[in-house]
Amino acid sequence: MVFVQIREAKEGDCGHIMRLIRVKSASPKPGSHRGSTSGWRGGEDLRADGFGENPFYHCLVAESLPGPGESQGPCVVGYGLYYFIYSTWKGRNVYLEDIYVKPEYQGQGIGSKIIKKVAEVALDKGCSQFRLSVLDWNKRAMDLYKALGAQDLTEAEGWHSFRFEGEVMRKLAGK
Amino acid sequence: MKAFSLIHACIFLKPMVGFGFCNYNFYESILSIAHNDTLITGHSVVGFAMYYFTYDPWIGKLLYLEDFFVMSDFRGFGIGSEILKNLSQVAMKCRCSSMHFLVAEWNKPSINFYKKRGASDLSSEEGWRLFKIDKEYLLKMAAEE
Repeated sequence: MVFVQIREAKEGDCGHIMRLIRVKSASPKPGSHRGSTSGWRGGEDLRADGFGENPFYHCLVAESLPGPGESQGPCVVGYGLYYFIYSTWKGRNVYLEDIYVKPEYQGQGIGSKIIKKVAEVALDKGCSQFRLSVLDWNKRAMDLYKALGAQDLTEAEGWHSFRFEGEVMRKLAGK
Repeated sequence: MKAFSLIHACIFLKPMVGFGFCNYNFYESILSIAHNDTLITGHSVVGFAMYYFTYDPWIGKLLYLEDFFVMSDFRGFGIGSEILKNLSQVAMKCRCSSMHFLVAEWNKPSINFYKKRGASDLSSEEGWRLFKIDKEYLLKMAAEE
């Protein structure tokens, strides 16, 4: 019997989180950058950006705990990475940027537990809204979020996500 | 000919750890100020951009443009372009991989403005949908065992 707890990530978890990110990126999001144009250094920057003096993100990890008599130690099997955003209309909100659970641990409600924990953090910090993005082919994820009360703003209000990617941004900057 | 200057202002909702550029504040703003001899202060704010930093665990920091507006009387002078240039320079200085923002699909002038400058519509091109969960549902989730 596997017991999984959701807790705040510690600096020492960065290596495990980076490994899960790489596993997830083996099936990449279409169109996502595989390489950064800003010189991002993977795990090293993940640690500095999340656990430095001014963190740019927060992270929860799902950790499986060994049962009685099991020799294997605790193991990070999933994560939820989020940050706070600001709306001129709604004030402070939380944005769930990335969530992942190892395939062998999926279907046990761990993803839902991570989302619920982020919701608790959001309420604790005075946020009025929780936002996230989902790809339109990911019906399973969309159904999960809708079951939790989520609304598709792209469908309902016509909001589209836009990007100036690295090279275009460099041109705009006049570099 | 109106003279404009861009002022980068750091506005804090409440005190954060550390001041200064590229830090994680709730938001920062770029103000476009018109020099106006008729006003006592000599200037008035005619445009602004509000932004903050977000994060993608695959590529690191991003600059997120939350709000961007130039008063209608002051459009067509290149103020919007100048603000965007300023934002891009901030993004590069802070080692951001890209700049993200939302546009409503019915807002054709804004869509044209951004696409003319090389922006990609990730919702149309890659299928990204923005979801929200309102507070009442967060409270329900938190109350469940």
